[in-house]
Amino acid sequence: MSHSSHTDAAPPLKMGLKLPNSKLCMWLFLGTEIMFFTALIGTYIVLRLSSIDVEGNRAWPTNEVTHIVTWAGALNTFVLIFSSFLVVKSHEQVARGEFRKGLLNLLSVFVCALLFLGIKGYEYSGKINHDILPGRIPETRQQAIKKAIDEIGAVATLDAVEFSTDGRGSDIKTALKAEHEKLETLLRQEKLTIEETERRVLDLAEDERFGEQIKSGVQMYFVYTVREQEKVDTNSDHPHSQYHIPYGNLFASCYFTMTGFHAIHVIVGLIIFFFPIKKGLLKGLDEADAQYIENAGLYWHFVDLVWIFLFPLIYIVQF
Amino acid sequence: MADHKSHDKIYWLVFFALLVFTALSFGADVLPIKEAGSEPEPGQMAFSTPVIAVIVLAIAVAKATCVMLYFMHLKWERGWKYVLLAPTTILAIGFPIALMPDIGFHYYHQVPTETMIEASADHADHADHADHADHADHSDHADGD
Repeated sequence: MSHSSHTDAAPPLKMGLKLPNSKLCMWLFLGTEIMFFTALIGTYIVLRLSSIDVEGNRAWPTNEVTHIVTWAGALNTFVLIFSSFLVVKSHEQVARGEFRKGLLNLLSVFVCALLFLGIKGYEYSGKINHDILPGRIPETRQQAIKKAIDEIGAVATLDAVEFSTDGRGSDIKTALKAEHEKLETLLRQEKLTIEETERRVLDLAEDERFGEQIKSGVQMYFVYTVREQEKVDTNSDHPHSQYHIPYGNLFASCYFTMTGFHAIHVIVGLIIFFFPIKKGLLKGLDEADAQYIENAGLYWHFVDLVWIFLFPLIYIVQF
Repeated sequence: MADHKSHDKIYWLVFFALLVFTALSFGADVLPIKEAGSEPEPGQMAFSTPVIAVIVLAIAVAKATCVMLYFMHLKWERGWKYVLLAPTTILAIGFPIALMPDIGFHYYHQVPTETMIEASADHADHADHADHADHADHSDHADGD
């Protein structure tokens, strides 16, 4: 601040950094986001490395066991990279005055984000179908036995009409409840091995009164039938080779936390891109929108960056 | 904004580089894996899992660098980028290192948990199974005939 600046018609003093405030804010926000996701990823790596067996070998469940679909992850990587490229193009086109082209690319980004979520949903549905969910996975044989018996118990609480419509329903229900209680007693007396439980589940599934309900309600039966059909050995890495997955819950927690938070960011990206698209369709974009699109692009590239690390770490690396 | 026209070509190049990198990391998934303690047959390539991990993560870092430098324009930004990104990078790297001594290194793994025992039992079954695989194959054929 010299004296001359007061008297001369000097250009107004520009305070702060030479970048728009909105862009600075976006970068500061991304700084916090980097710490959030690196904390998640860092924790995952440490937990995964610490999941060992008694000999100290790594014992993290394999992709086959946890139903990881590598091609879906790779396809999603491509979708995000392509959409990142489209954002860059769109920003450039709007800054240049090619508003229609810019809008078209923004619309394509929106479609890519939806496609990503669709593929993610397909993966999630596979996990849900196989009950690969945090806290639901039996990690020891004893837990697998307990789960099968609990599922038989759950079948026994179905409405009577589910078993039979001609009035015999409640009798069938009582019979199944008795079977369930028998199994619970055996469990308490520690008389059930995994083979014995399997044999009893198969017997119940053969029963004409409640067999169908057992077949659809007890996962042990499902795993068993697929294993028999595909002739897999109980000691192989096949997803249907055994009823328990050591460290399965830790895997599921890590998987759903990381990909879930990432998916939330994709949804937020949809909201961010919705506004310029709406404006473009109703009123048309103008030069002033280039800055918004650049900021939105920075956010979207960050979402892409996170996936670039999640893809190899979850789907490919085996350490 | 005047320099934006010249970026057109770079964006395409970066996009294709990212595609190639993605294909490479997907390819690493189908690389033959060398089982610990076993020698690969002569003339057969096999990679140990840490080697694959390093390859795949190096590719991820290369992809991330491409995205940050060109798509996020960091290559053309001024010095503020260092001030802004240095603390967050240090904290991000420091966090897993801070967790490592407690969780990562199992000092007491000779006093195993139930899950560790189950994991080991599977492992032992697996090794046992491998020894008898030949025998089992033959008996299967005999049944088929």
